[in-house]
Amino acid sequence: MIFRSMRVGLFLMVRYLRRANPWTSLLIVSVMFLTFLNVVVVRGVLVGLPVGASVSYEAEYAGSVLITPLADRRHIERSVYIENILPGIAGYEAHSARYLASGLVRANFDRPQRASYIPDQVGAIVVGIDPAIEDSVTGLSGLIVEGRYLGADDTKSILIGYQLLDRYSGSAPQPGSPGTSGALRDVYPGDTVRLVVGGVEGEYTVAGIVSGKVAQNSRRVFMHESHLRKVLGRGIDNKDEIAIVLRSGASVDGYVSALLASGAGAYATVQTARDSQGQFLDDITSTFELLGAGIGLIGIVVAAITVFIMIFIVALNRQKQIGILKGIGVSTLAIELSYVFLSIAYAAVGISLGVAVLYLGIAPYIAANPIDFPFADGILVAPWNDTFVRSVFLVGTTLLAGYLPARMIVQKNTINAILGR
Amino acid sequence: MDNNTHISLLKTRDLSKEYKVGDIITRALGGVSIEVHEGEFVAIEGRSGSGKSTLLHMMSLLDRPSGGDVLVEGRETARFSRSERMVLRLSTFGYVFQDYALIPELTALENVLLPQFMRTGCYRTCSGQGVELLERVGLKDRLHNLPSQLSGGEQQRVAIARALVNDPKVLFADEPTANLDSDTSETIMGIFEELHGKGLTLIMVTHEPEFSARAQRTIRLADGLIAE
Ligand SMILES: Nc1ncnc2c1ncn2[C@@H]1O[C@H](COP(=O)(O)OP(=O)(O)OP(=O)(O)O)[C@@H](O)[C@H]1O
Ligand SMILES: [Mg+2]
Repeated sequence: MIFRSMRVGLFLMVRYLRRANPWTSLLIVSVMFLTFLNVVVVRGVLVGLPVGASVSYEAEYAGSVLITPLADRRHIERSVYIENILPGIAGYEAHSARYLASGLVRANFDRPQRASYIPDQVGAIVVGIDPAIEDSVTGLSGLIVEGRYLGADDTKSILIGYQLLDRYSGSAPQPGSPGTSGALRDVYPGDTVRLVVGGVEGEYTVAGIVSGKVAQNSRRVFMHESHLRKVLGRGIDNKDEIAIVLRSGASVDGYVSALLASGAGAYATVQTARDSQGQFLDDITSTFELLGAGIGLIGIVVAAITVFIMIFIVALNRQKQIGILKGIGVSTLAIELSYVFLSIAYAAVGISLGVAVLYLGIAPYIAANPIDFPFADGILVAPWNDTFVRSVFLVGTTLLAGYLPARMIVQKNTINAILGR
Repeated sequence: MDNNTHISLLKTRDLSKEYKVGDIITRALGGVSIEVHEGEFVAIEGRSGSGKSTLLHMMSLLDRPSGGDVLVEGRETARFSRSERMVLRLSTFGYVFQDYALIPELTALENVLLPQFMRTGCYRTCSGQGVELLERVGLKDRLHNLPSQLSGGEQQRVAIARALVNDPKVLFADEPTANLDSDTSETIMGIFEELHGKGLTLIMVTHEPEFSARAQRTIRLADGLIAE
């Protein structure tokens, strides 16, 4: 009997659909379509922000594995030894080892002398890199927004992080302020600035301005590592930061374990890039996940109410026919199922459209044109299994929203329904 | 005719029905006991508001009485569940409504086949019966028309074909010709007489003395009671 009722319900649903008002159908399908996008895409974009930030962090700064000094040491110890074993571990592609030192950048010292002359100055981390290697690891040359990248023998040139400049950071220092925070005014590629590092002040030409999504790079000053080492008087064994890029598909955790097994852990902190970011991004991700779920839930509730009202009106308008169906012996289950199937059909069409637009339109588009946020290239996180679960949830809600009004109206006294009383 | 040679197919026992609207209680049926035998053609007559439709609704199990009982082939139906009543209606009764009551989204043939589909679960392979019935009521060329594409008389003939598709034992008709002109009404009556001739039990409500005269027996109602 139940199976027969399902078949009759399906039979009726197909006829309703075939002869329904196309505008009504279009409206309901649109609601389902938009709800799907709301439930999947909004959440996908929200979660895509921290995930995108993570991606930028790895691409522009840390690579897949980041080596830093031990907590109680100033530098990585025996960095040459570590650098030598890196390529031997499976998955290795490239690495960049950097020297770090704190420094002070001074600008505008050649302006006409003021009453109490103190040039603009900001604190910065001065990074010594091999320009070619760094470029192959983090693509630093691609992050230059003004000017040019460091050449092979550019030892008297530097790159400046954009947040050190007031036209990017928006926080201009007081004229002549002696502070080390804030930003420099009027510094352009080709200008000369003074850099104090390791107690030595020297003049350098600004080659280019470094931008990007990563906070680490934005307040750094980059120069040739050989030159910085000379200025600091540091040995070749005292690097401060090693970013390692692995081949795509290689196990990051596997690489870290292998590196630790080789004894590197005694000289430095070896972490996956993800671990090196700390709890912060994980927290943002779960917060956004929650936010996305909340917005999605509201969308689902709105869709449920819409479907409920739609089916209620449809069934209310068809009270007489429902009465007739009961009158000629069609089971109430069959009648209820015909409306349940109707709402599922609308949901299925809407969701299918949504899936098509999502995976053929929106996802490839956002992948090619990431959403430009200051701290991340926002990507769309919408894995298939997650989308599937959400779609099933949406269909289930629709099913209920179609069943309730149909049941309410099917319960009416048969003869009253037929006679419209 | 001698009642003993007939099986009592349908019997009402002190059947009553009250409608309550606000504080006013209308007694539409006030204790009606009648018996209909297999193969009979019974007309129900009476002034407007005398309770004819109400009686038909109770007898066909479309509605529940306030008191009394309806016996179908000797079985008391008062305590039947909704689905038991539905199954009985589906397999034993056919009902022709005054206003045809076709499902607007279904074609003539689909309307006719629906009760059979519900009863047997058989649709496509059993469509022959529906085609045959529609041919019998003269609608051979209207199988795939929607109700909106049919005249009133044609719709009523589709409704009759639908009422017959499950080979019912009783065919109920509530003023089946009320909305039709006299020629079309004559066609419908002709179909009923033919069905009666083949042994079908017919219970028909009508206003027209001319039509009730063609039945074997007439039950007259006045104020919800049988009038003699
Ligand atoms: N749902 C209802 N609520 C209240 N009163 C009702 C209801 N249905 C019928 N009645 C009343 O019951 C009485 C009998 O109604 P019924 O429809 O059986 O009359 P009828 O003999 O079929 O009349 P007609 O020839 O006009 O169709 C009438 O007085 C009517 O007003
Ligand atoms: Mg009536």
